[in-house]
Amino acid sequence: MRNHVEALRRERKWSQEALGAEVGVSRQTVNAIEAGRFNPSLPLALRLARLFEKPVEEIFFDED
Amino acid sequence: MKVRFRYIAYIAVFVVIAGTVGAFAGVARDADVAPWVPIALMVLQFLVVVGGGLGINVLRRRTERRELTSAPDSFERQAATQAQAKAFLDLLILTLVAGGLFVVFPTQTNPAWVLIGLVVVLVGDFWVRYAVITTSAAKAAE
Repeated sequence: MRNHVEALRRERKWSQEALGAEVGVSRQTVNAIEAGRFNPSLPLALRLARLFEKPVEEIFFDED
Repeated sequence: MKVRFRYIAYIAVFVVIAGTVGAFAGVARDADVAPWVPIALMVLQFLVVVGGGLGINVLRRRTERRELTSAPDSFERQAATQAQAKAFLDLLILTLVAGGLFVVFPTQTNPAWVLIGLVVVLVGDFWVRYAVITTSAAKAAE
C-alpha cells in the first residue's frame, strides 16, 4: 500500500512529530507509514483522512 | 536520545547498587558477622531487585505514554507484537534443546540455571528482534 501522507504533511509544513501528536501515534509510526513500511489500521487511516480533509482512498492507494 | 541516555543511566545505577549489595552479601556469607547481617542483606537484595524492576517498568510506561509508542495503532506496537511472536517460537525450540540437555546429561544439568538462561535469552531475543525491526524501518525511511 502506498500513500500521499508525506506530500500532504509537507504541504502543511508539519513535522512528523506534530502529525503523530495530532493523530495519536509516535513520530516513528508516521515515518514508517510514509516509507510504506507500515500499513496503518483503519481507525488511524480515518483519523489521517479527517485531519487532511480528504477521502481515505485519495491518501492511501494500491501499488498496482 | 536524551531518553535513551536516561535509561542507560538508570540501569547503570541499578547494576552498581545490585553489584554492591551482591558483593556485601558474599562477604557476609564468608565472614564472621552478626546473625542479623545476612538476613538484612537478603532483604536489601530483595528490595534492590523488586525496586529496580518496578522502577524501570514505571519509567518505561511513562516514556511510552509521552512518546505515544504504546498507542494501539502505533508502528512500535506492531513491531513489539512481531518480535514477541518470533521470540515465542525461539523459546519453543530452546525449551526442546533444554529438555534434550536433561535427557542427555541428567545429573550435570542444573534446572535453575537452565531456567534462568532461558529467561535471559528470551528477553535478549525479544529486544534484538524489536531493535532490528524498528531500526530497519527507520533506515528505509531515510
